[in-house]
Amino acid sequence: MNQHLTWEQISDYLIGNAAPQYALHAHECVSCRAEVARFESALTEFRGAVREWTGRMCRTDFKTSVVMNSGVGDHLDRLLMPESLVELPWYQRMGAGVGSLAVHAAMIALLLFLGSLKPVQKAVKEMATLIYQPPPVKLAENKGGGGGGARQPIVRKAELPRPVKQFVAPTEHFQTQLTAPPSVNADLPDIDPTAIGAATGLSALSGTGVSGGFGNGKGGGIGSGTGNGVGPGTGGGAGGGVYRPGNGVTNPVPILHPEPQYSEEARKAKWQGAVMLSLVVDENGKPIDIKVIRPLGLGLDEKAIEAVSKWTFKPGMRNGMPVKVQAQIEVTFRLL
Amino acid sequence: MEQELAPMAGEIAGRIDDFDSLVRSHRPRIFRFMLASLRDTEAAENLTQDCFVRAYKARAQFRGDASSITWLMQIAANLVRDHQGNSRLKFWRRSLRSDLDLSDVSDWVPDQQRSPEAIASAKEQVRAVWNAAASLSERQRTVFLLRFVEDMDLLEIAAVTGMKEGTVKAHLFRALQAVRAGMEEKK
Repeated sequence: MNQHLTWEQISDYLIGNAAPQYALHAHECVSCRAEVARFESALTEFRGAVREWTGRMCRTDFKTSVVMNSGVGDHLDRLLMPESLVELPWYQRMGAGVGSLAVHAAMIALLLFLGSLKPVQKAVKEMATLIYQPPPVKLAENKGGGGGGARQPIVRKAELPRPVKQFVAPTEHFQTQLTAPPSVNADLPDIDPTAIGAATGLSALSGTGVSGGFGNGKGGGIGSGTGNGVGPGTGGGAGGGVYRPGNGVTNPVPILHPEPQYSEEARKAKWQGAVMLSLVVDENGKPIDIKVIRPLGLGLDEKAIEAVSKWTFKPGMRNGMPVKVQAQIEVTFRLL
Repeated sequence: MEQELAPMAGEIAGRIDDFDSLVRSHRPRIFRFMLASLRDTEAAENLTQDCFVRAYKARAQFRGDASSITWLMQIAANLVRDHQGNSRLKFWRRSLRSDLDLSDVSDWVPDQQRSPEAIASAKEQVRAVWNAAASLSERQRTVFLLRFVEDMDLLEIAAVTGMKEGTVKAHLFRALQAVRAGMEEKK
């Protein structure tokens, strides 16, 4: 097929209803592919923006948990049903209408009656017109015009504040779970501090990832000296190693966690599942060194990394000080 | 790894046993459709509520031949149609609707660490599609949103709207023509 796709055929392709030969052409022909991509990109951006917008606007504080499955459906009816929708029997509706009519008629009659009273009519006639007229200003000839007054600030019409993108709880289409990795194995051989200090193999030791106890702290020591000397202790340096949760090291807690986007391929394939990521949360609560442990494919791994890299955490703490902590995050993608 | 869609929450063997979890799992999606259709947060909240009230009242009629989301979306589409058709409210809706809802959808383009130029271009695209969607008739817009925001296929849309597949296609074609015209205009 040499001819380019017509607009009808491109539409069919976008709708998901293209004949196989046209779909093939849309992939193979550079010009047609570019045209299709232009529309696909606009529609994808539109979908993303609408989902983001409505997701933020969606209330998450609603509650529907009432007496379910108990045979007393009336409870839920009353809870869900706005009062204005409750269907009243005809006599109650009629009663309300008649009552309203009577009250309005009575009020109009009262106003007319008051208007017909002499004292009221007299008072109305005597009412002064409260319009202030400034005294006329005499214009003197041959005297220059006065200077303009201080310029008044232009008063703009008040505008509603624009919505701020703010974080709300994520919707159901993804879930994340911070899972604690296996805790640190503290059964280290006893180390002679003097021997370590003398040795040059510090980098080799710090590479075990157990703790950061071997840094160049003020004390220059190795650890607190209790146990196996794992932590930096008070005399130890603030080493740059990565901790694992447990043994007095708290888990980092996500504070801001923007949702991951679905990739286009995965959406088309209705692909769902979970990506397991490994990362280090640094002292400032920023995720670094993000790696995929369990991939899902179809671009979702990249989307998971992209989202998690924007997360902010309350860093893991050790002895009241923020430290780098190893963490694992499971990002679950689910199509709604 | 899940490859099939998980069974719908609260839906067991064609019956709705746990309405509570049905509301929880589908409310965001129904609200999304309502808000995108009506562009009015308050009306969307109310109609979402109405949708679940209707669904709850009619839950005995739910047969397992369609998924629960198709069934709920059917109710939602009917509510949108009734709402739009209610001419008595049109004046008030116009006057009460805040411009906030109308103008700002392009601000919600996910940034995905893109360059400012790329974001500006994406915003232009979103605005063009958004304005094109606004110019559509209620039926066309419903079909357009179900296809391109809710990712439903033609058969699902036909089931939701009660139209024939050919009619759905015709509506989608017209909607895409409007989008195309909007994009050409921006160019």
